[in-house]
Amino acid sequence: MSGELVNMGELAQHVSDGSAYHLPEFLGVHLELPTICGVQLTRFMVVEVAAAVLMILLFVPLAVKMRSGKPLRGRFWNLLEVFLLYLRNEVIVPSIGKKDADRFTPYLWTVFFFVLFCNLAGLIPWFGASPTGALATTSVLALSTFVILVCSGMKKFGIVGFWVGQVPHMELPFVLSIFLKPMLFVIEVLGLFIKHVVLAVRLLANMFAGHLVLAVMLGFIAATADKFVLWLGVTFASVLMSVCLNMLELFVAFLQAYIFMFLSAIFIGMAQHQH
Amino acid sequence: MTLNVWGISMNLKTFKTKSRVRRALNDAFVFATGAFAYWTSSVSILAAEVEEEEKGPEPLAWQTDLAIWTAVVFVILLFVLWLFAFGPIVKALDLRERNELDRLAAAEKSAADAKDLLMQYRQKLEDSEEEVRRILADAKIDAQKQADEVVAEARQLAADERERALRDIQNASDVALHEIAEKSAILATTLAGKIIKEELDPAKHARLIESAVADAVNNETA
Repeated sequence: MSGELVNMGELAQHVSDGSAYHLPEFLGVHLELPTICGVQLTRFMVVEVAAAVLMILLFVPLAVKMRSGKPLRGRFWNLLEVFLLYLRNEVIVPSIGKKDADRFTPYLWTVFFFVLFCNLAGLIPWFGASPTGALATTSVLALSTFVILVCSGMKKFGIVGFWVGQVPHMELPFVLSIFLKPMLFVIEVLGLFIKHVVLAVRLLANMFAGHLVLAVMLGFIAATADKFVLWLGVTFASVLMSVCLNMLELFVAFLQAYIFMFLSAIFIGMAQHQH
Repeated sequence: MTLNVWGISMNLKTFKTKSRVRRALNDAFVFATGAFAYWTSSVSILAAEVEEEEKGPEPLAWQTDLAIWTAVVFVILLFVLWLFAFGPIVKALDLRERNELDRLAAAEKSAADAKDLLMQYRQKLEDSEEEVRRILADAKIDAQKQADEVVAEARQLAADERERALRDIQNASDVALHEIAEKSAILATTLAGKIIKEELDPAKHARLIESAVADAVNNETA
């Protein structure tokens, strides 16, 4: 332990992607991830697969138990069902409408729990930071919402109908509409893209910033390692603050998953019910 | 004359200095431009050095491998969950919702039926109570009527018995009187016959007796 650890680059390695796990030095183990078919596995990739496997292990048995339509037994299964029911009844149905909601509910549930599990994975020591703290991950998730939105909208209104429907209906004189409607179309289409870009960046920024602040907070300990008295005080304060921030991160993990799913539902709902 | 500050060159001959003020302003502009260029260059170099030294976090850095990996994992996950988890769960929830709605409708119907039945039973109870009251009243009336009839019949029987007894007494009295009169007449006739003897034959004797008896009966009746 020395002041060298305060290097921002090394700190960032703990919260960003990498091909090796940062295990405690006293273990003397350096766990390097392998390359599969020319693709270097990274910590984020492993976390994503773990999240996916965990979701399958949780929700497939839940589906089997719920298939009969009877109420579930057991606290854990009821807890999972509460999540699903809350998201469906309080978020998805009000955003999309009762008629169309069930078609998009499986996708939105998948997005929510995938983002949530990826967020929570960042709180597990040495497991790797959150994949949702990488632009590639959040962009793909936002892109999937965008694709579902556009495809479902075009399926419902037709290709032309969907894109023309982006322009709000206005009673304009013909001459004005010739100028205004193309401009509005461009603005609305740009808005459609920008909304999804913001969807990706919001999740990315929240998760990355949270983990970075945690890393910096713990980095103070290493920064004062050569001054024992100061190190004691800083260590106490840093650990205390880290615990508090971890609790906040726990809340943020749920909140950001909820916001991502909620905004996805709203965007899809807007595509299903045009201006 | 050419001034070169950090790659920015300027030909000072192009500036025609008509006054000292303008010349001063020109110098200041050139100095400011040079200073700004130096500062930005220094900052860029420093930043580059820091970046090279620390390789700090790049949250907006694009990782194509991770993007493709995420897309593949997410699409497979979505497919699997849609088929085996969330799709069936949505159906199960719909089924449960329908069942609950059916149960609710059945419960409401049962409650309405129970309410109707309760009303019917209450009505029947009220009718029964009324019937009981009516039956009791009728029974009382019938009992009273029967009692009156029994009493009247008893009185009638008693009256009849009394009348028959009186009649029997009257008959007995009449028979007794008749017998007394007959015996008295026979006795008187016998006595009178003994007294007058030959003046009376048997036929006269019989008529005399009957006449005497009739007189006696009429006297008695009167």
